[in-house]
Amino acid sequence: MKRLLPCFQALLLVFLLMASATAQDEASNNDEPSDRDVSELSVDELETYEEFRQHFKIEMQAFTKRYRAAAREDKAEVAKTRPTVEVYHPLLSKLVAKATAAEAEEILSWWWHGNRGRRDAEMMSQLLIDHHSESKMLTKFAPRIGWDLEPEKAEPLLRRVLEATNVKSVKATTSFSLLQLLFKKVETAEDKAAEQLQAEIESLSKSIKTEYAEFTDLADVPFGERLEGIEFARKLAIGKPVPEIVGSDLDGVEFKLSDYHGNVVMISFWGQW
Amino acid sequence: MNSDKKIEVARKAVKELNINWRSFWNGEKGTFGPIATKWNIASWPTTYLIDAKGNIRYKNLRGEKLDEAIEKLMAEAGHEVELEPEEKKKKVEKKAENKKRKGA
Repeated sequence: MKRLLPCFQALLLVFLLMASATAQDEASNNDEPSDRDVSELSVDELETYEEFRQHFKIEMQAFTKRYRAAAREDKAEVAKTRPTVEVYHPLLSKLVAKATAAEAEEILSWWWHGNRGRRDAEMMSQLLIDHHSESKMLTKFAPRIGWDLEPEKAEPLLRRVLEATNVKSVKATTSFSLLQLLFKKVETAEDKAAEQLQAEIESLSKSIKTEYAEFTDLADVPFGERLEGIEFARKLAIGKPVPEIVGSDLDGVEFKLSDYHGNVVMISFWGQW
Repeated sequence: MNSDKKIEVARKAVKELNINWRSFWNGEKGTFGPIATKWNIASWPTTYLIDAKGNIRYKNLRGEKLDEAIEKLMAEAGHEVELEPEEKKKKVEKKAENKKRKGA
């Protein structure tokens, strides 16, 4: 029976895939009149993501042609007419807002990973959280919010995600992104604010260690291990008590740093190589 | 904290260079050994100065600044010391000489 189970799951998966494919076909039949010639349409007349992609591609091809044909001294001027995503912002915003989570994910993946991603990060984050804050796709977008936005803009957005979501992987990446922001913020905070931040850091650290230690974002190393590294590095700051070192000397005799407590000690990491 | 892969290399250095401090050995992985890894050491030498109370006070000081910092921490602990007074004296004399020359 145990052997049959994966088989059954695979069948179920195939069935589900077929069902969703059919659903998508129907949706696209309604949404995308395939007889529309996109090259004839202005930006304002575009209605679907597919139309946008085609339109953008045509514009880009036309630009490349123009650029290649231009005389050398005119190229700089022609380069200024390179198509930008900016003119499509209203359409993309509308699409992300009304799309299903899966469609929104496709649009945002293209948009965010493109050249303009960083510049548009705030707009995309806002759209994402206004319309899809409960979606699983935030697992991969929450870290980008932390990386690409100013910390003071990212923080409230990440907090909103944490409030809205019930998905464990989203909680994991969002918590870790927020924690990284707070570690930076507490460095320059004073007295009461620092105390509050420290309390929040501790509670977030605890949930990372107990619930999300095995999760990760784009990096290979899981959150639990990375948090340990961050915590140890924080202990090495000026003014902090030095952590204990236990080891053996060059004669193989074990000793520890605290043997020298009460003395001024210079620790030098040296070698001859 | 010595990060040579072979402990013999470290022992030889201690003898030849008259190194009079006690060293931990970071193990056969050398710079990737456990202690340097934990301390996230990215460049050698990296130095930390610890005061008598066991707090980290300075990082990566070199030369004169290092001497001054050690003197300061020793003074805090109640020991007045002057590191390499001969060399310092020479430096002060040289500075005075340079000033004279510029003045003239």
